[in-house]
Amino acid sequence: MLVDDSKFMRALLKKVLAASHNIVGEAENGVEAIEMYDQLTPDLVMMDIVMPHMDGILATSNITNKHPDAKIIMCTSVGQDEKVKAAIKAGARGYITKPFQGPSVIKEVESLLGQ
Amino acid sequence: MGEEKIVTWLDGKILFIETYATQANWMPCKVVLTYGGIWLMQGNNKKGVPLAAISSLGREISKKQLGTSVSDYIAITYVSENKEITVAIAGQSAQLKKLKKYIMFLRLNKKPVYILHPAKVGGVIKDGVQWVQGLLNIAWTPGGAADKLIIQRKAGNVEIRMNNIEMVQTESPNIGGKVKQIVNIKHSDSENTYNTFILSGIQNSLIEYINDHLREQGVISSHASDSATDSSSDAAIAETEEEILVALYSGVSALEVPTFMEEMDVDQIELIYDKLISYGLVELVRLRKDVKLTPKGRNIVNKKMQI
Repeated sequence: MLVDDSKFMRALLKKVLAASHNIVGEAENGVEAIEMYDQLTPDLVMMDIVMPHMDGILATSNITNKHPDAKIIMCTSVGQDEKVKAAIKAGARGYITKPFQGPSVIKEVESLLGQ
Repeated sequence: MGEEKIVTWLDGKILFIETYATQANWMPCKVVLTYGGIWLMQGNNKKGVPLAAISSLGREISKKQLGTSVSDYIAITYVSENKEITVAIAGQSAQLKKLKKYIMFLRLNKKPVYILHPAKVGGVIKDGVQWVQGLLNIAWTPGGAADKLIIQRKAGNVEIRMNNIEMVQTESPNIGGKVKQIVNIKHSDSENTYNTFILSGIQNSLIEYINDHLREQGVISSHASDSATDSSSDAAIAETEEEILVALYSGVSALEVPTFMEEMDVDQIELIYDKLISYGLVELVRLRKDVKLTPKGRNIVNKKMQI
């Protein structure tokens, strides 16, 4: 499942991941992500941090409180590494900074799915 | 000052920068760089600036302060008796470049650092990588094409080719409970992009050295700040063009880009590629051919399918 307020970033992640994984849903903010996670219980979530209505850190915290096994990878822009640390506390299992490279993202996703 | 063996020297002129000076008082001067520092020699007067006292080489001096039409200069800022002093040195461009490069070399080479490598691979932050001690070496090669930063570690050397550096910037992460300023070097090889973090007492010099190289290579503009990569040229990039660059960076092939850029067809994307080529942001690898069958070709297909 992809969570990002940028349509382009969702399309890009989809392009990178779709060859090897099914994208079951896309959300534009944290509120939508929580609702969608409850409905779909996806194997993995790629979660942006900075989003309107509810940011990715709060959404991750909400999801992992309810679903402790949730596998969430945070995506952040360069220079937001401190936010990533907050995301880890919220329960994120991996973290990627933008711009990313497709093969590294796939490797991280597969590593997490294999755990 | 330390060792007196001469590294390089130039005949030029110097100007001590004073904030409230009404006119620039340039003075002829022989500038001699030794392993210990810089000597400013005017007749019988000789003033030494130890390398360790230099805090910056990249300060930009206003035209008003320069006073004349001096365009090629280096500004050396150093601390003397708890006072920060900036002296501009003007001379032949090639000599100034050489002087600056050697000063940077002497300030960086064989200096102890802490290194975290790789901090990121392809944008993915790597868990479990620890800060370790290392020794920074500046490796120069004839022509400079294979110049490297080599950081010696117990676990093996980290080599960063200067021509593979994409950007350098300072960051202030929390290390061991304290916020520290580090240098984040983003570089690539044929397979991946890496972020290497360096913590040291020479980080301003390291950033100046890398940014100088990036300027020489045209990666950043000549007016870019020394603490971050250039953003001035970004202004000319439209959002769609930026998205295409991001897609290419992520590994989407140029041919695949039109398949997921909404509301854009191949022709529009190709126009953007032309624009990006003209900006020097992408380069043409090859032209692909788009073809359609002729009646003769159709005839052959029909015959083949009947066999």
